[in-house]
Amino acid sequence: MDLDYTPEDIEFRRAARVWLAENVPGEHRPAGVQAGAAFDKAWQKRLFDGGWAGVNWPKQYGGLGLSGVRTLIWWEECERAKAPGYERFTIALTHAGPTLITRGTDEQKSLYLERILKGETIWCQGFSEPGAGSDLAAIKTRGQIDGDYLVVNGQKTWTSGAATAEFQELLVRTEPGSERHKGLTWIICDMSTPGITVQPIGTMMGESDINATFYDNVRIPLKNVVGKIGGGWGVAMSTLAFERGNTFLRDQISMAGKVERAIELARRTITPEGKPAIADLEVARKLAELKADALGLRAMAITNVSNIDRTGQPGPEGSMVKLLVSQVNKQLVELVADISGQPFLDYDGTKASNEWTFDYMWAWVLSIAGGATEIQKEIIADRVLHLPRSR
Amino acid sequence: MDLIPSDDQQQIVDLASAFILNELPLSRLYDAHYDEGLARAQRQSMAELGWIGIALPEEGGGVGMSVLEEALILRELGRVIGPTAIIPTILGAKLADQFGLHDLRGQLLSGEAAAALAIAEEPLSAHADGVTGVARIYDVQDAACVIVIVGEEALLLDASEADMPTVPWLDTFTPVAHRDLAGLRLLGRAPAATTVNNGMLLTAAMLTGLAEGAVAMIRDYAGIRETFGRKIGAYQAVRHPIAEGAARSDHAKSLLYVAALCLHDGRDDAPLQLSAAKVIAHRAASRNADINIQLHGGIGITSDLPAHHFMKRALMLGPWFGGRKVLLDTLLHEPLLTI
Repeated sequence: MDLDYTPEDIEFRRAARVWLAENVPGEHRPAGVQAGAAFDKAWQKRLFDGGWAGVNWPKQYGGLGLSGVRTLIWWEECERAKAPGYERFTIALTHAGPTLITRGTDEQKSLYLERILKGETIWCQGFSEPGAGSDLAAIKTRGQIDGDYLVVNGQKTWTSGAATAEFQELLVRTEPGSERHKGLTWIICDMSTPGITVQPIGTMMGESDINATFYDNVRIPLKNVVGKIGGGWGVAMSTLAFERGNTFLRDQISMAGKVERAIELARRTITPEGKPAIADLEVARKLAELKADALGLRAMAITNVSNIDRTGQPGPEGSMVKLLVSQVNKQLVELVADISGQPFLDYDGTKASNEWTFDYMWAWVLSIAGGATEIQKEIIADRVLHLPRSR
Repeated sequence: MDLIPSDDQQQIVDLASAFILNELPLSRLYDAHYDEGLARAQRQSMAELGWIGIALPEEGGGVGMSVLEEALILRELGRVIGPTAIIPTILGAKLADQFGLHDLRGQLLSGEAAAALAIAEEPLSAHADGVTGVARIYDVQDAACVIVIVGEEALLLDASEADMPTVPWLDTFTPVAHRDLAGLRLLGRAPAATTVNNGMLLTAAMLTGLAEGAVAMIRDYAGIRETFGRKIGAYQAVRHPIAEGAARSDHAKSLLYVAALCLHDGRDDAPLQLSAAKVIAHRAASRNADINIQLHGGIGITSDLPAHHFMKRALMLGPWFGGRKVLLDTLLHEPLLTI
């Protein structure tokens, strides 16, 4: 056990800090769907050109192959420099890309991986359906083999980024009459294929990029299947641990800074009674407790990367992280609403108009997307505690 | 940077848990009462294992390890609601060493005597030959000395000839006296920070173990107890609170390790990390004690089952080396270290 950085770690941190200081865009990510995606592509291209793309992807696939500790350092420096996050590249970098690395053919790897790192292609996820969210194995969208093609009909939902994505990781039922985890196929879908309709879903935040995607006789070449026909469930699950272990790393380490910003806000905000909000002991102690919580989340991030460095991948403990990050975040934004008072409702439907208010609503996205809190508890109960199965 | 115990540290953990399995299994608490002879024998066994002086240098009669190993052992003891006396005794041995009180140090390291911990019940005042003011004095059995924190000072008082009548007490496995500290001769005084920081770590470690022990107990029960024809662990109303308890334990454990390393390395943010670790571990221990009782159902509130001891111990350790409110008020303004 130690908290020390090696001289190479320190040099890595210095190099990352210097590069980020010179390259992080000065302007905020724009609100519009198209403009936002263009911003994300430009940032990813900049990362690639600077040699910083795919920090935890293996070197042989163009990544940096960083250890867990270096990945943590990278995210700490990104947080410090207020660098953009994964945004529209979340699926490509944390799920679709790693899935291709693990299960794709050489041809698929060479066709898709580098273009992700270069910022050329956005990917979206075609897993959830109106009747299959938390219960993913209930999906019904059909894929029928017709010669060298899979013909897809049905509907996906919660397809964030579908309007701007070049590709989609798509999970469909290819064996008629099959049930649950059997008979599914994971296929790469080119979003420009005829028959695909993307329909935006309005959200309570106003600004969002969530969609429903409809498939009407969409013909996808069979060579786009990853893994085997009928083996899609295994392919979809092969990188979930990777996703849980890495996607929330930045959320974890950024929480301490977020709490500090809330403390600053409480010092600045004068209540209608004419006192700083932080003079209220209830507010002060809640903030202090959340600061302690955030330090604990950072400590869990170190445990997480220690596991990655020892065993090659994060354990199911990633579910505990997601559960706690969601909970701490929710308590924080509720407290900020209390601190702010009426101005908290000054909101015009864009994140830029009031970031805390956007975050207040985004807290539900955090606790529902990527495996809802209730599903994370099931995973902990099954895989960490080995309790009797509930289903 | 690594938060996983080294092989050597894991060996300490394994030895501790093997000892505990034999000498201090949770089952010892089924409908049990405090037994002075047993408590003394346990203290001496732990002293023989070197636990009292684990972080003292070998030339001082210790084992020459560090606060990291102390924290690992205390966490194991917490899982089985082990004796709290080891906390003041570890700290007392260090103070005795610092003050050159070699006889006292020897008594504590050998397990012949123990140290007690006084926590103020009214403002205390320290003067040239001792301390005045009323305090609760924890772990008075065989106590040769009492540690007390007054303002910025840690004081060691002589308890060898003092009258320490115990009071009826919720945590029946911790003998506690209630008296004015006046009349206890001063053995030595030192700046408080070292003792307080070390005390926070040991208390947080025991609380983390309590949080983990309570989850382990209810997890085991949920795997065997049946209602409505199913194991209760299959019901989400039961398994979800246990999953949350496990996450709380893991959160507390990671923070405990970071705090231990900060103290070990003498980092500037050690007080911040230690306060946070104690607050989080105390909350985890209290909430996990709650779900352990609640999810056991009726049997959970009986004296037959030791579930209630997790609750009582977590309550008792609350004020040790700074209560929740005091710690929160300090840590709010402590700067986050920028890297």
